[in-house]
Formats: sequence, C-alpha cells, structure tokens
Amino acid sequence: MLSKVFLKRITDAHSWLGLIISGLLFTIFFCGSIAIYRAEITQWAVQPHYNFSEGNALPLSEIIKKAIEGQHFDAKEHLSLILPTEQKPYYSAYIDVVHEVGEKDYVSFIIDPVSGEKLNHVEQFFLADFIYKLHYDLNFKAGSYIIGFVTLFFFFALISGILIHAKKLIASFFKYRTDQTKRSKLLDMHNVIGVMTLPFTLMYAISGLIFNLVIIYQIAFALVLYKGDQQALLDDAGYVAIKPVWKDKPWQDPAIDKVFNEISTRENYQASFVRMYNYGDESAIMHISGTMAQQIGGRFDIATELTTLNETVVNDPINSNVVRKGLQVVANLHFGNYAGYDLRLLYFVMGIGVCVLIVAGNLLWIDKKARQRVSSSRAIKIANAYTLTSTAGVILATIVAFILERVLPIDLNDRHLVLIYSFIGSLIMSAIYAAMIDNIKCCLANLLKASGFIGLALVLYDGIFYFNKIITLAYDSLTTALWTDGSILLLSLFSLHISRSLKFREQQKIELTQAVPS
Amino acid sequence: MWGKSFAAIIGGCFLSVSIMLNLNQILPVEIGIRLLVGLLISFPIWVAVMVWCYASESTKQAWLRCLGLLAVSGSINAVFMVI
Repeated sequence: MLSKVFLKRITDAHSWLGLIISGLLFTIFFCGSIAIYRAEITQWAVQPHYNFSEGNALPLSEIIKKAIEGQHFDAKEHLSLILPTEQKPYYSAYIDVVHEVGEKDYVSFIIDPVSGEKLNHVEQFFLADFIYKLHYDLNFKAGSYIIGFVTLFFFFALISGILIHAKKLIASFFKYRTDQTKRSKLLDMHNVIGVMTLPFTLMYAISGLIFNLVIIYQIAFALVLYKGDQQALLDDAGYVAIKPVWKDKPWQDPAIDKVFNEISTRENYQASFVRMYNYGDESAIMHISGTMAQQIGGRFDIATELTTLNETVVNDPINSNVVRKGLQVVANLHFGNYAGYDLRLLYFVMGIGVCVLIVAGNLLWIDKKARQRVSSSRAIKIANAYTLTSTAGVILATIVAFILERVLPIDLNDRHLVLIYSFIGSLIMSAIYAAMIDNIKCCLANLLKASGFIGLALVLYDGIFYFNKIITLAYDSLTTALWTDGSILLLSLFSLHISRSLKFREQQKIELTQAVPS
Repeated sequence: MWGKSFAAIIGGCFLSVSIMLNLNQILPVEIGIRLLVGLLISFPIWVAVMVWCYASESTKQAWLRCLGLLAVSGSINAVFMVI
C-alpha cells in the first residue's frame, strides 16, 4: 500500500516535471506522429513537380554511372542509393565528393530510374526530414541528448502517473465526467488517455531512450566489460564495419547487376538500400540491405566483394546477431512499420492522443495554481503562454512549413533554411500573440483557426495548380499525393471544428458571467 | 525539487550503470543476450531510482539513498573487475 506522503511527493514531482518538459514533449509527439508518414509527405512534396519516364528501368550499374557523372566523386568513400518502391518512383542517391575541410562532403540527387536523369537535389524537399529531425534531435547535434532526457522524464511521468492512479486504474478505466467541473473533465481526459495509451507510451519511452541515450551504457560497457576495446563491443553487438583496403587496381567487369539481382530476388528479401565502397577498384564492395517480408525485426545486410563475389558480411534471419535483431524489433515497434497503413493510423491517433494528454496536464497545473493562489498571476501567465506556444504554436509552425514546402520554387537556393526559419518565425509570432492575450482558450482557438485556414489554403493551392498532375499520378497508382492532400484537408477541418467549439464555449461562459450581476 | 532532480538524474544514471554491469556479470546467458537485457532494463532501473529520489523527504535523503546503494553496487563492480 502506498502511503499518502509518498503519493503527494510523487504527484508534486509528476506535475512539476510534466510542466517543464511539456513543450518539448508535445513537439516530440506531434512531430513524431506526423513523421510516421514522412515517406508519404516526401512523395507529396516531390511527385507533383516531375514527370517520371515510363518504360523499363535502367540496370543498377547504369544508375550508378549516371549518378557520379559530372561529380567530383571520391571513390575511396561511399556512394549510397535508396531504391525506388511502389509509391516512390525514383532513386535517392548520396555521393561522397572530394572536398576541403569545412565543406559539404556529399551531394545528393533524385534520379529517374528509366532515363537516369538527375531531377533535383534530395535536400530541396526537406519538410518530412525536418519534421522527423524535430522529433528526435530538434535539428541540431546535441538535440538528441536533450530529447533523450525529456524522454527520461516522460518515462518517469508515466511510472509516477501509474503509481498516482494505481488504485483507480481499473475502476476508472473509462471514467469521463462530462457534466462535472472543468477540472474533473480535464483530469478525466488526462487519466483516460494516459491509461489507454499506456502500453504504447511505455514502449515509446523505452525505445526512445535506447535510441537517444544508449551512448551512456555503450561507454560503460566498453570501459568496464571490454576494458576500452570498443570494436570488440561492436563485434559482439553485431555491428561489423565494412572497411575494404584500396588496392589501386582497376576492377575488371564488376558483377554489380548480377549480384544485386541475385540478392534482391531471394524469397522474402525486400532490398531498399545499396552502398558501394571503393567503387572502380579491385577491392570494391557492394552492401545491400533491406527488410525481410512478414517478419518483425527481420533485416538483412549483405556485403559482397565484387571481384571475388565473396559475401563478407551477412546479417539475415539465419545469421542474425541477438543485439541487432533485438534492437531492430525495438525500432520496428517504435516506428510502427511492421504492418500496414491501419497500424500507422493507430500510431498516429495515439500520438495525437498523447498531445491532448499533455495539454490537459498543463491546463490542470494552471487551474490548480490559480485556485490555490500560491503562484503569482505573472507565473500563471507565463505558464499559459508557454503552453500555447509549445502546443498550438507548434501546430501553426508545422502547417506554415507545409505550405512553404509547396509554394517555394523547387530550385531556390537554401530552400531548407527558409523552411527552418519560417518554422522558428511562426513559433516566435505565436509566443508574442500568446503573451498578449489573457484568455488561454480564446488564444488556443485562434491559433488553431489560423492553422486550419492555412491547411485549407494549401489544399486549395494544390487543387488550383496541381490538380491534373495529382489525378494523373493517382491514375498511375501513385496515390500518395492525393491521400496526403485529403488528410491535410481532414485535419484542417478538424482543427477549425475544435477552434469553433472552444470559442463557442468561451462565449457562453462570458455571457453567463455578464448575466449573473444583472 | 531541483536538488531531488539532480540526485535523480546523476544518482540514477550511475546506479543504473552499476547495477546493469553487475547483472551483466551474473546472468548465465550468452554475451549478446546479456548486452540486450542490459540495454532494456537499465532505463527502467534509472527511472525506479528517480521515483525513489522524488519520494524522499529532502534532497539530502535522496542523495543518501543513491550513494548508499551505489556504495553497495559499486563494491560488487569492483569485486568483479578484480576477479
């Protein structure tokens, strides 16, 4: 039995930490939920701009030749290709180039698989990656550790939440009191979402921590168990480095296409990635990786010496390492990519559910402090502005980034920077607006309304300028752009609906307050 | 609350590393499974220590709890390193 003192201390820590991390946690869950569809968002951004050639695709060796054509390719480094799929009708190529210190060490291209034409740079369509990076490292290097610690506190909030709610976990499983006070409603919403999403949030917390803070334990393992021999640790963990030694002898008739076709047509092998090492040299190695069909955590990595055809590194379900396999299962569970669209939709809904839980938690804290009158009105105003900026502000900034991804010219220099600055600018504007408005619900409603209208404007823009293209793509079974526009439309309408009902309730409350004195 | 938080983060981190290393020495399974189990349980251990720290009466008690357990677990680490 948990004592009252214990529960009080844990509840204080739960709400205090919860408020502090809420801003970043909302960003993690909101951007993470959208990033579940990052492949689709990239296709939505890219496909309407191009006409992909029809006909037979060029062999892989030809695509590689076209990719490095005209580039200062550093053959002693790598050349990587992300292969086309059913809904992605092009190669993404990343080519390491000879460079000066401080310069970019690679170039990337979108390549038509039939003509081999380089259509644009991959980074020009940065939106999906930007949102995904916001989810895991906030788009800067040390950000992954910040996200890691936020995830740690989130894990604590989950465990403390279970302890606080333990007695009522089953009895109040579906309890939602719509006819009670605002506080009861918020508390029920916080609890119901928290309990229902618990298995999902626990899995997200642990897997997120493994991705972002594993370095702590990796260092401990390497220093203590392996006496500083990090390579031995990596070997035991199944991470074998591919490091062919450059022989300085040109290769003779490399069997690139033969090896690729042989591996990619094996039963259940779904190749998605190819990397060339020491291209053009006798020591060249081709690394092919991908997923195994119908298996959670099933991956394969095969490195083949192109001259001797020896398979030097093999990682597949038969020759799999326990750590790699286990971490792959963790990754699959985190990304929800082990089943179809319906599972990812469930992940999306639960992710957005957690966003609602975060907002409800913050509102509960603000309500509690306002009632207790222990915090100054300035502190409550800051908490209000913080909640608004980090929630509705993030939503607004995201939809602004979406519309810019569509309307900015695709050849614009530093297009990705415009996207980043527009996101930051929208956040700052939201913060200024939130600081100016006293009524948190009116402000929330207005920010959601603005987001909804921008979303509608985006769909309208696509309807006017890209309608024929999107429909033609859909006829060619490339339905991603159409589905994405449909989803944006739906979410914009949903946002407008919430904004309207929030405004309506606030209006009713104001009218009621004005009526009482008279 | 800040004091307890520091104890929870720093103390929890060292304790989880220490306990995880001990488990790694004790578990009678192959190295791959030990590494994986270590990764999977270390964060729950860290969070359990955090709960323990936040449930303490004061910052001092939180640190004492962490350091006391760390002294025991650390000693076992030292024994394993020597043998």
